Formats: sequence, C-alpha cells, structure tokens
Amino acid sequence: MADTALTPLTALGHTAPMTSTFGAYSLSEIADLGLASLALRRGGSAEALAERLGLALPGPGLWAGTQDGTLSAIWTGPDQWLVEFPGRACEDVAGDLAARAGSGVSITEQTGAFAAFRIDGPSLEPVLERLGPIDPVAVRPGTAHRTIVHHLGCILACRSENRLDVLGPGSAAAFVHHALELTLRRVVV
Amino acid sequence: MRIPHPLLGLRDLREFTYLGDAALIDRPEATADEDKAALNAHVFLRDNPAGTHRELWYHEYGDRSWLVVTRDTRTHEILGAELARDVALAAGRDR
Repeated sequence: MADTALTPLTALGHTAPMTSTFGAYSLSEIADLGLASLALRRGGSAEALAERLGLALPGPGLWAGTQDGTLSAIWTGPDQWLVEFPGRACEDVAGDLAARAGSGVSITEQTGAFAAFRIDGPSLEPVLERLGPIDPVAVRPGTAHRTIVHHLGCILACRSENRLDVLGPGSAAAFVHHALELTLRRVVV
Repeated sequence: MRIPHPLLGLRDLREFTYLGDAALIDRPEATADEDKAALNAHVFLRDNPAGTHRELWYHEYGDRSWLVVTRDTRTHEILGAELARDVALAAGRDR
C-alpha cells in the first residue's frame, strides 16, 4: 500500500487558509466548509423535507441555519438549496445529507466546487457598492443572493451586519480572491 | 436596465442573458410531414415589433431561472416579468 499521507491544499493552493487585512476589514478563506446541493423532486413537500433534516429550508434570496450553527441552507432556486456543513470539508457530507433527507430528493457533493471567503468589517455597504451590480440595500443579515462578481457567478451570504461570506467557483478561486482583495483595497483607500 | 424578477425583486441586467421571442416556448410537435412548415416558422421566422414584446431572459448569474419579460422595444421600458415555467404551465404544458 502506498503512503497516502497527503497534504490537503486549500482552494487557493496553500496548506493553510489565507487571511489578510485591509484597514478595519479582513478577508479570509474558509477552507473547511463542506457543501452539498439539495433539490426536491417534483411533487415533493419542502415542509416534510425540512422536518426530516431538522433545518428550516429558506425561501428566495435567503439562507437559514440551525441554532447550533452546524448546518445551514442557501436558497439557489425553486425547491433547490446549497447545504452548508461548516468545518466538515473532509467528510462525506453528501452521503450524510442523503441519509437524513430520505427519498424524493437529488443530492450532489459540492465541497470542491466552491471556494468560500469571508469578509469581516465595520460596514458591508461600501464593500457591496464596489463588488458588483447587487443592490446593497438587498443584502441584509439572513439574505443570500447569487450575483455577478467580476464576471463570475458568486453567492453572497450575509451572516450579520459585519460579516459577508462569498461562495465562488472553486476552479476560479484565485480570481474570486483577487476580486475581493481589489474591492477591499478600494474600500480602505 | 433592471428586470423585476418575480422571486428576487429588481435585479441588474448584467445578471441576465437574452434568448429571444417568448414564442420559442411553444415548440410545435412536427412529427408528421405537414407539421414541418410550423416547425420551420418556429425555428426561423420572428416578428420584429416596434412596441410591446414578450421575450425570454435567463438569470444566468442569479438563480438560473428562465423569465418571460415584457419589454417595449422602443423605450426599453420593462413592463413585467414572469417565470417562464409559470407561463408554460398556464398555457397547458405539463412543465
């Protein structure tokens, strides 16, 4: 048996998640976020599914999580969600979700498909004004919008007045990071 | 230009891509030879109105929904937007 003690790399290609600060703002890579997509098949009940999962499945433009913060879901389309498992990127989260959700749903692993970044700062408004075409007024705690950031489709999940998580395509992680870095530099000029 | 997404509210034009006339939803069956003229018209022939036009837009950088947007081609005023799925269901399609 070959030695399989491999070193995991983050989406940006480093062994540790990247963090940087721009004035009062910080930008950090969330390397340990497990993700799986969840779609309810036609005719299924979202309420029954939410009950089986023990998770409120949010409506358009929103995200919702459990009280303990171990599981959350982002609305991505009618009867479709991106389910987040913080800290569990190395686990079979899709398998876990499938076991909980039962039948009548379609689930795919998404952990490696996304690169996740977190912006913390005194106010998100100046960041959003420079980030893309999304209306900053529409981004409030509890909302999650997919929009365009430097020509890339990214999900902006607003966790609080001071925290915005950006989920972008993992294959373009460095581009997403560059876009966020550039935006924050412009904010603190 | 902003499009009033029926689920997500006003969204910027840059999140959308354009396909064309909303009549594209009503694809004729064209299994028999006599239906070929209808299929030909569906594929190749378009009205080009100066005024109100119903057209298909895709929310590519958003929730990836197809919308039927009613737009005035003279002023670019957006008069309304519906989910294409709802339009198809209302027209008697099964999805």
